[in-house]
Amino acid sequence: MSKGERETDTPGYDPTSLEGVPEAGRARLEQNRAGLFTSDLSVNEFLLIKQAGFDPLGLVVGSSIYHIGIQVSGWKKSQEMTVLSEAMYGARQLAMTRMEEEADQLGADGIVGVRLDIGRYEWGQDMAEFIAIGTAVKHREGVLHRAPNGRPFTSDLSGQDFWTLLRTGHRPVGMVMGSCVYHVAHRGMLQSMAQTGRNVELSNFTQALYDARELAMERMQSEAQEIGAEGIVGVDLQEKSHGWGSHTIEFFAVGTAIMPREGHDEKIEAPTPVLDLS
Amino acid sequence: MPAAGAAFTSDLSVSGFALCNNLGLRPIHQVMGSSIYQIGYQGSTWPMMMGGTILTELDTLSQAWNEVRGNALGRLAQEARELGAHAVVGVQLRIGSHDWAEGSIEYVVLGTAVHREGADPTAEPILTELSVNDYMKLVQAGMEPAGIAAWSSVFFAAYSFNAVLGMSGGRGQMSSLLGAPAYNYELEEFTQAFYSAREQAMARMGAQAQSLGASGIVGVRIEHSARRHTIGSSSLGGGERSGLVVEFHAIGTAIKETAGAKLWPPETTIDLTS
Repeated sequence: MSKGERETDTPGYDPTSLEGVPEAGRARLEQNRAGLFTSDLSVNEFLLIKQAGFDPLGLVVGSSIYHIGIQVSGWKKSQEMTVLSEAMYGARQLAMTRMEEEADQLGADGIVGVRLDIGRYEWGQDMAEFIAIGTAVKHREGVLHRAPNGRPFTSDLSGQDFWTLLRTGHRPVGMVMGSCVYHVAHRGMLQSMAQTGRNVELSNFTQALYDARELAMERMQSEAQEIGAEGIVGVDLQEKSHGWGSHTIEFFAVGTAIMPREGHDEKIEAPTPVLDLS
Repeated sequence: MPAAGAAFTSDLSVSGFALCNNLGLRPIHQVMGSSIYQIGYQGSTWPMMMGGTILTELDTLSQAWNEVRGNALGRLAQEARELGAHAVVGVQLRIGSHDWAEGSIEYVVLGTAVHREGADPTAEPILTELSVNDYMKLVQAGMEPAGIAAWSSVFFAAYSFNAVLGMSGGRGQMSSLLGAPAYNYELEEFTQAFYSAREQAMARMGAQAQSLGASGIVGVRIEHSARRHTIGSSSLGGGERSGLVVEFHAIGTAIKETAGAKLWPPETTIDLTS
């Protein structure tokens, strides 16, 4: 999948648009605007975000139920399943964009504690619900903390990590992700017979998984570069087969891109060593 | 009901118990509330038009969930009131079912009733899922729990044309000669149905928190489940529509500000334990 192709998949982002956000969602956002905040933060996270100078505004959600297409690969061929890669990436992107639009409606600076879930239901094996959920926050003194492209920042960091990151003079700019669904070739009959009972590296398997992982990580990295990040923290590399059979695997890399905070070049003070005696 | 001077019971952790002193709390007794509820059946007159609205709330089922939870929490509060408690901390919500009572759910809530020094003796006890430790942190930051905000909504979402198309291939139940399409597409109607059902449950939870005088909700959990279902139309030729019954349960801890927030930076430490 080239970069150009991917961009056509990416849903357009319009801060004033609520396309895809249902009526009931708008009513709920109204409630949040009127002063009641909701969040899935724990008490510890909530207090640390307050301490960091941010106020939670409301729980924001984005969702997309998606039919994942079908692609057939040759039995003995290692290749990327581009239709599946695009589906897994595009559907998450739809959910994330809707969540960001909800946050924008609340006038948020960004979203912390984002979770990306894939809900599978027994009623449709090719269908999945992609859900993005997080807590929209706003800086108390009104210092703008949005990403350089004007969208609310997103981050999958916990409240604890968010507090610590800000104290190091950095701030999150956006969650970046890369997906690659890969079909790993089966071994031929002769090859597996020749390898029976021996110590041998299965180099075609190694190579296939290596390639797929690299592709996912590289896509994540180029996303971070595009939004002008300094680096990525907390990368989570997931490997999962979403019911495509054992030889087709999704590699999904997700992390939080960060950048320096203007006017904050502090470093975190040396932590006190403690020994927990419990 | 413990006799005067009897030992107190609680499921507090030792550290929680130790912090009670600081907060002016005194554990009185463990309290419980429970309700076994048979969930009714809802027949529905389904508008038989294609392409129309595909989401409808099954309000009998929504009501069942909200009532059974309300009953259990109400009984918990009743026990606490009789003990002269001002709050119930560490409330646990448990849902169970028994095979000898088919089609029913048992909702059990447990917690520790506490007395709070200097609190208004006539005030309604405040129920909270928070541990004493979390309670303490909130109080230090100028906030306190306001109650449990929860709402359940049950919906029926009928299969749309797109969904049936998607299910027609593979190992799906509705196999047809056509097979599922190979391309990717979003099931927009279904997205909307699930999305708005979730938003409605969240909005009503928010409304509950507002009625408790809360300024916010923390620790929100949204649980959901979906199962296949067919609804018969009781009128007009008796057609039926298949779809999904989707349950959303939104639960959170309502909190309110009592004083201006006074938050100090925590000290950073490095753990040498492991």
